[in-house]
Amino acid sequence: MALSHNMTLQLIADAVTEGAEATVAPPEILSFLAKLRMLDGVPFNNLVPDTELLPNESIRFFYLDRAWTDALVQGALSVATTNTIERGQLERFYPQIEGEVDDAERRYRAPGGEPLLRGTAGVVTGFLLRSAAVAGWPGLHVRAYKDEPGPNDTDIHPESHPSRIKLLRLERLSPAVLLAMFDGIPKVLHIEEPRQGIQFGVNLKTSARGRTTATVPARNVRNGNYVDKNGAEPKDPTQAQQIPVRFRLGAAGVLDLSNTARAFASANTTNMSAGPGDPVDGAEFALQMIRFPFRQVFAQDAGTTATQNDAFKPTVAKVAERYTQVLKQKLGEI
Amino acid sequence: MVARGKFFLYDSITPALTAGSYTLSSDLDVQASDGTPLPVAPLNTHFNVTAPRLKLPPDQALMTFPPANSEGAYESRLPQIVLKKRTLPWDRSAANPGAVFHGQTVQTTTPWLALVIIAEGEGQIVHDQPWQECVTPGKTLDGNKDVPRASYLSVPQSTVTAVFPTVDDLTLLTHVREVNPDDTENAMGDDDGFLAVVIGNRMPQYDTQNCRPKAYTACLINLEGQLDALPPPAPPRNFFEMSDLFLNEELAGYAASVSSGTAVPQKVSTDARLLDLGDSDAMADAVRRGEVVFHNGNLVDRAGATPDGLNVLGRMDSISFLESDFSAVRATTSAATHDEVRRVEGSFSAFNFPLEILFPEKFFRFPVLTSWRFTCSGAGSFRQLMTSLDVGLLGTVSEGGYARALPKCAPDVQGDDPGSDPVTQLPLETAETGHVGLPHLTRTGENANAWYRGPFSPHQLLRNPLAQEAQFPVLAHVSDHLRMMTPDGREDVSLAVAFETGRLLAMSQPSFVAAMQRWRAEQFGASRARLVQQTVFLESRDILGRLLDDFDEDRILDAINKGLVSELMEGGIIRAMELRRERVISTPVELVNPGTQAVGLAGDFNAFLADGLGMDRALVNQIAAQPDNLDTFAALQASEPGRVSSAEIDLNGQVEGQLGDVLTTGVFDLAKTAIGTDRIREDTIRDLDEFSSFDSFVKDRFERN
Repeated sequence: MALSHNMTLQLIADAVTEGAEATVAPPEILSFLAKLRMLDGVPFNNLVPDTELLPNESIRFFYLDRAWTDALVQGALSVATTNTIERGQLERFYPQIEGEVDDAERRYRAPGGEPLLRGTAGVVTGFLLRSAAVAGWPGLHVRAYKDEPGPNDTDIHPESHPSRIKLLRLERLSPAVLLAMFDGIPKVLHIEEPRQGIQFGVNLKTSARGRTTATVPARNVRNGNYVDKNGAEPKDPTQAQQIPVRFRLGAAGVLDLSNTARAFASANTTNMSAGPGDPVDGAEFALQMIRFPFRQVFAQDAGTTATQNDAFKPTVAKVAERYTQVLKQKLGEI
Repeated sequence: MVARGKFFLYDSITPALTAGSYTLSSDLDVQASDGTPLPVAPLNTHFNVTAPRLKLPPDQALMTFPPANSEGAYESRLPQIVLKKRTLPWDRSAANPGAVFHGQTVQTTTPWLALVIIAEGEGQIVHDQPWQECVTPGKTLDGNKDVPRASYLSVPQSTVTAVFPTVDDLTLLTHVREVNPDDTENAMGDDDGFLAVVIGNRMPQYDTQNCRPKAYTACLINLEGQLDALPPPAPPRNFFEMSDLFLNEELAGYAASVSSGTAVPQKVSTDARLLDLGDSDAMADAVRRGEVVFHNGNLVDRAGATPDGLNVLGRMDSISFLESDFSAVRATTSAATHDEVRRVEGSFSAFNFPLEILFPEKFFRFPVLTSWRFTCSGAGSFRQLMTSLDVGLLGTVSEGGYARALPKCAPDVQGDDPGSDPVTQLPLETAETGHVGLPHLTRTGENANAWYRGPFSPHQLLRNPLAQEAQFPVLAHVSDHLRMMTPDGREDVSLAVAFETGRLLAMSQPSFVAAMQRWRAEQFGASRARLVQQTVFLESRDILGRLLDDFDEDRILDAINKGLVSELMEGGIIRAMELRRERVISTPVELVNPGTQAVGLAGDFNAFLADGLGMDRALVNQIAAQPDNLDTFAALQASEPGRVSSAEIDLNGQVEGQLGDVLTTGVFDLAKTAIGTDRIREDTIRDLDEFSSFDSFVKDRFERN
């Protein structure tokens, strides 16, 4: 009879463990509440009550007010409560539900090939960007870092990298307004032209007489690095050998590609050959013409590279500090 | 696999088979062992290799630069299009490899596609035409077409010479990029990580001479059979001049003058017509068709546009025009009134005037796979936009905002500062906390002013500011719970608004409301039951003791906490019933089935059973006698199978006879099916032969009976 006795206990044990893994709220309710937490569907008027708070061509950083989003969730939970018993029960379970929504809100945005985030919700920050850049360059890359991602400016860490701050939401609310929310306080924020915009182009220079010339910094086609006349590989494209670009007669802006390609090949350090057996091919030409997308850096520390120097660099933490100081001072005056 | 953030460039990836119709013929050469040839009919299999030809499927274009319909500073960038299929630029061939055009040899890697950038007035895209119309007259497209109607680009010789790439340029303008397909930023939704890229050869320039934005159209064109139209190589220059921006001012003038105006006719026939000012009916008709319009005291014949601009028929006052009194027209130039001009047909729509009719130059037509427009506005590159952003925390109100960057050539505005815009509303009241003062119509109808702050704040905030104050509940049930008074005596409705927004959003989704109700009914009902169980059982634990004599108290208490008492009791009752089966009221199912007596079996059944199963004879007897006895069951559980006996079993004659009958019928049925007749004799079987031919098969099956 030991068999059946064990079975009875097993039955109970199974039921107990099953109960422990299940959440209080059903998954469909949790996902709806998590969407609310990420302000999905909340009218824009409620997010930004006046246009003056977000003028044209501006970026506004913020901390997410968790009390506000909690009130939003409470409002949704209050639906269909009819009597005191139900409200009492809701009150009893609310702390647990809140914890479960905290967990669920981090699964709102799940990019492919990246591990899911877990754990309790902390400080959420973000920004609203209203600019023609949002409308004209769909698919901007927004990356937030806990620390400066490293000396090499072109490095991109994957989302799961420890120095990356996870994006909780990145969405265009209207053609020209972008909302981003982060799972923490970023120290450095990169907004980059869409990578798909690996662009091809030249550096233009217009003389006083209206003549426009163009050059391309030389690259070694074997490894893609910039090269100068002596074959050294400087980091800064301005120090590389500048190869002039040829144009077609009688048409502004039209490139004479064959002759430009010959100019690329005759620069020795590019490792290209223009011999009859190995003419310059499309890949080599494209490599010389690649211009990397522009990256706007918002950060506390001044960067070292040319791109970062002319960028404005406030940080959420730094500006907020000053802001809070003023507030405290004013409160003291009352 | 390519690392993330990296990419490889390939010059070209040519397909194993270019697009077209193919025939796969197979011949089999078979000989018998004595050398006699055994002919086998050749097998021809036909198949088509397809690829886009006249129209690019929308999923193939992964990205375009400059973005479609965008405005910006693209002066130093080459437009490009990224295609999904890696072999697309080489899926067809523009001409046979080895062919020579203007001293340039066509390679296997020469693509059939080119991206040409046409400024406004340099050419014309005509949509929705039969495919025969889409190539330069005199050229043909052989083979299958992917669409019956397509678009074409109509360009004069002068434009082709100036902006089209040469044959040698084509290979430089295409390449393949390999990226990591998991890299969402680089792969752009591609499936295999290989992307074909087609670059344009023209950097779109801003019109610095007139300081005006210039609109461009990028067209991905099909060059099949038309490589001879491409310009010959020309001596290069190290610079270009802005005065070369307008390729053909005459043509641009035409394009501009015919497309100006508000309501414009759609179709123009090539027939000439005379516009007789004296015939007021004909004139009224022309006005109705939109051919002749009245503008600023001028009567303008738009269909008769010339490179000098619109054809002004004469001046008249508006009253005469409304009365259709065209005799009042005072001709400005006597010649213009009776010039031969084009007749206008059709109704009002976008103006679609074939430039070829008006312009005395050779025109080429190229099928356009896809095209998009963009405007070079001279300022507003991504970099310029991003670096001049107004940066701040939400809650800062900036003075005036940021003015859009202007191109360098824009003239300085002279004169006095016009001053700021007239103030039409009260300045926004903001607080350092990020709150703004907004008008608030209270429930009692009072016009008040309340503070509001959205979910975004310039400060890091406590999650639950009300938790410390005991009179407030942690969970709000109505929005009024969250209304707050601020020290200045005005209400702060931020959280109340949030609550109400959440409630309305939830109410707007019936599925969510239903899910909430279901959840309440099931989960909350269950929790009530759990509560009852806890009170009942934890206060009288001896019930449990009676139910289960050796229970594990911790586990069971845990089960009670989880509300699993019903499962617990179920298990306990089953166990109790098993232990004392004889005391159970109902008739239990027999533990052991003694087996059914077989008919026709002579002798002791129990003995046969014991022999056949290799069991103890006494045990079988016992089972037959007392099937319900638990001791019997225990003995059966404890017994071990022995040697199975091979003793013969005596069956009485009845069974043997039945078996014989079944066997005879079965064999006869089988033979009947196989031979095809029910009259089977010994010689029928002996004469049976294998079917060597279809005839013998038919004879055997159908002619025997």
